[in-house]
Amino acid sequence: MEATFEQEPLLNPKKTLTDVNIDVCKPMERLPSRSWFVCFAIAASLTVFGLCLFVHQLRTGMGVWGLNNPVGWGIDITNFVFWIGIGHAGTLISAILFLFRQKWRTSINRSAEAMTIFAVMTAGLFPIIHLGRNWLFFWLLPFPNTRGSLWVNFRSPLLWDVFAVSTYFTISLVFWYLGLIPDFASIRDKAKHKVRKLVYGVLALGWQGKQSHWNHYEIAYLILAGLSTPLVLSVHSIVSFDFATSVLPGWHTTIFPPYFVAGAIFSGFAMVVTLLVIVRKVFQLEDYITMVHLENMNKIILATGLMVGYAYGSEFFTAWYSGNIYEMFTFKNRALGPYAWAYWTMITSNVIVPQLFWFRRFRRSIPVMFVISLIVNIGMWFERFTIIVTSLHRDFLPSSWDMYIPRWVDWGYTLFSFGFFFTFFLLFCRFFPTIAMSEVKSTMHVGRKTPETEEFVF
Amino acid sequence: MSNKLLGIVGFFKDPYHLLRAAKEARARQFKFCDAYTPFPIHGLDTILGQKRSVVPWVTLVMGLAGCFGGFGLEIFTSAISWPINVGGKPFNSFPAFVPIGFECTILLGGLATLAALLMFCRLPNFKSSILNESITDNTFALYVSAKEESFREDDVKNLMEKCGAIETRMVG
Amino acid sequence: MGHGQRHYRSVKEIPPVPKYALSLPMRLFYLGLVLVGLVTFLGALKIDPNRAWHSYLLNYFYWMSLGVSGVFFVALQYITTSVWSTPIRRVADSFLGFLPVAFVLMLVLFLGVSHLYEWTHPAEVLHDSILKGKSSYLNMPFFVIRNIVFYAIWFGAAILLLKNSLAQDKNGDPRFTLKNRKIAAPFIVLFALSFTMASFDFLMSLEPHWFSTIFGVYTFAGLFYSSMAMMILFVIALRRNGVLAHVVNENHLHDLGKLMFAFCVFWAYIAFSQYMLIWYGNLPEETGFMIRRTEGAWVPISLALLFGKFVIPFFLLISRPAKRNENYLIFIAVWVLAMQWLDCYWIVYPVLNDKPVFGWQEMGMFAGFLGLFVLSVTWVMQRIPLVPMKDPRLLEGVNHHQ
Repeated sequence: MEATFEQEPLLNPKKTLTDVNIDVCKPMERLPSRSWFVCFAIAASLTVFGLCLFVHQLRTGMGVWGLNNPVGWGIDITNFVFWIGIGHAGTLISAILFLFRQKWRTSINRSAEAMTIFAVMTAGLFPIIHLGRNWLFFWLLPFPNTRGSLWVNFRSPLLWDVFAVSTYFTISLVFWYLGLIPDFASIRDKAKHKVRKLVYGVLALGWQGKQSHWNHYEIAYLILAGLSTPLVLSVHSIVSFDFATSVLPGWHTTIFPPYFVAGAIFSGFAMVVTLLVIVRKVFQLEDYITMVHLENMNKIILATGLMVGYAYGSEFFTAWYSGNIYEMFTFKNRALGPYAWAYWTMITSNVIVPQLFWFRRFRRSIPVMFVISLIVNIGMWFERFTIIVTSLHRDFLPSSWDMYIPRWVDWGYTLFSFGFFFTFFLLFCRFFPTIAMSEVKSTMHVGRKTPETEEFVF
Repeated sequence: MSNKLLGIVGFFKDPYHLLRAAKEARARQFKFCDAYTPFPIHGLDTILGQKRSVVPWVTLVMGLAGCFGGFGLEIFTSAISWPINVGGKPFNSFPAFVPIGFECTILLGGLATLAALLMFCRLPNFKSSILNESITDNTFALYVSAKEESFREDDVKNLMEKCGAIETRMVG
Repeated sequence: MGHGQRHYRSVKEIPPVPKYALSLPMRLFYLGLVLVGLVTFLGALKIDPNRAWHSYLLNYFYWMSLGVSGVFFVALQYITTSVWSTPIRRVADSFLGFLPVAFVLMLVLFLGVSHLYEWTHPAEVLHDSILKGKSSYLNMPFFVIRNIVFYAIWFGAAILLLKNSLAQDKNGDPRFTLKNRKIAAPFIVLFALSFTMASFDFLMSLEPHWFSTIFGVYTFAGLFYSSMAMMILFVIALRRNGVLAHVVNENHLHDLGKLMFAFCVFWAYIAFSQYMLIWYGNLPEETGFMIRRTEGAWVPISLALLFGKFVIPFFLLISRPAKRNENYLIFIAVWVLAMQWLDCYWIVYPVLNDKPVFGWQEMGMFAGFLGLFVLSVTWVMQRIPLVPMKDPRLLEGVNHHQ
């Protein structure tokens, strides 16, 4: 390795301020390509397919799922946890890396935040789909009613989820929109067409880039980052409470909250890498989403992968250390029982494969990182599947043991979730700036020389 | 529309030139000058003598309101309005109320932050005209108001040009 | 900008960093503390050996955590390629001075295990099937060996990191930084495992039937939280006596304060997760630990921990000026260190007694360990340049601004 200490420029050093606007807005100003239409058609039809499934479920009943006693939670909750987890990387990039002054985040935060919002939307559907009487979903909210008032059960972690997920969605949206305001103003001022000018003008709220406004703006941004950081920790912790507050072996363990958060960030970053490798290629943003960004994300994947590995080890060790035979059985059953294939998929993809990122060569190779990111996504999906299904299918009473075999509806909803997510993501790529322009501009000096005669300012 | 001069604006292509001009303007004790930039520039707020934003206080107050509101709702519904024994847990299950109390804190604090920002910046604002369309692209501008005590047209123009302005314009 | 902070254009402009020396009266003072600790320990052993050993264990774990936190902090700075911490990194490096001392203290601790750990009594283990099941992990030889290995890892990494950094002082070769980054990454992994096991060994096994998977994270949260407090105290002291006066500004303090604030919240998060899940599950084998601490005479201590370690520092540290003011930071840092002690007390002492006890045994031995810590850390500080003048990141780190 070269023994130099110059900070590698975050962007292509030839780019100027105007180039940022031109390059980022380019995909929004021309007609979508054919491949975009093809992708959108696939995603949208999967969404429609999901709607049909839902109608089918409403007409027939919950029995269309492969769920039954003792496994009442299967792929529905797996998908819920999976998509919520995907969202966490976006908040990590936009909020936590901001607090840690990681300037490289500016090229990727916009699309990662978009991913967060769409992933949370996708996730939020599953608990509602999974309700017995879906049309009564609003009973989850505490409102005065003619039944008593019969309030919601605030001691139930499922209700905590309602609050956590809706708060997470709202605050992420606010944070995202806040970041978009100056960029909408850029598009407004660049727009030639009247309608375009009007639409983006309304969205920009009349932003002018005044210093006295930036003054408030920056503080508000910092505060929202400060609020989002504990929020993101709380959301997946609360998701983990759904399991950990029970007394079921394999679910009731104190490390679940931080372990779920680490796993969420891990899978979320894998998804960001998957998406950005494609986006930067398709929209020719290689000068903005550079190897620096990708390598840093791969480092985070390695770090969070190790944390997840630590949690697996800690759980396994404590299952033995506790001397609780049920606890130990659950873990043996995971590794050697009928779902061992899911368990070993999870171990291989989450603990073993990411170790390749110890090597700089692999961290900086697009094909390698693309494949690893896909593997990690699969592995994290199976992690949730393993946790949920293996603990339920064999608990204390051997007479009530049974297997869970997902039906076509279970898999259909899983496909739908991807279609739903990508429908929104593809629309986002068309109509919104995929890179936070004003933030990128503020970090363009990194790795460039300050003019000799000028005082150091940034 | 009268033709009274409201102020002078200078446009710059380089943030360093803007900073230079801002320092000069401050040296003349100008109080109402403001800059327009495509992205936030660190240190410009202190150069222009702008105070630290009070948005955090709004967040704090509303966050605390959310916190008390959330816990209040939980305790009221679970322990006062209709106490029900669920799983042998106490009516006031404080540890179990923490997650929602926390979420309410963040929700109210976060929404209040956005509201405060919009209020302090008087946004949305579709009335005032845009000084220059490239400010949101790559141009930096410094506006000096004619209200300033020591305002002299030629002096301000001179200042802007000396610091590297590519254009100065009268606003009126 | 605008804080009257000096901006250096090159490393040559930075005034020379004076050597640090602990004055003779101070040295005598801390030696006195060590003596007090020793006398207390011997006296306490005579009166009530159980209490003496519990006090010893509490202090051992408390100060060992602080000692090892230095190398962890340094390693963290290397793998995150952080710039701001360059001028204060040697302070964390110096904490390694306490590690050999802590090692000896641990060897002494081994003499008292039978007063502390139920699992060291063969007769009891024989009649307890759960303890028998654990005996392949909880047995004296393995306990001793693994903890010696942990010290080898911690001290070895600390020495290597410091040695490369000192070598860099001669020629400024950036390769040393890269080398340290390569040491730091695997070290962090080993640190996570070893510190978890050490806290399982010394604290969790005090109640050998109890278990909590998050326990290692809990002790780590306390470690980093108190470490930031200790760093703040040392950095401010060195700034005041001129050593770091020209290289550390309030932005560095602000960052240390922010980390302390972050870990205040993180500790609360982990502590809440552990408490709430055990409270909610209410399983007999787990919940006993919490019942012992949250009922009866221990209620005030638990509440003091909740408010003292989280609520009060949270509000004290939330504002920006608070994290930039030296005197204020000193106060909070001392407060946090006291609360970290209370946390260890909360873990260790309920095993000893139904009621909280506090007296000369606790105070005297804390003073002794404090003396040892300060003396050993300043011993290192007097022997190394306290600012890595040729570190490629130094200039930017010294000019740290916001």
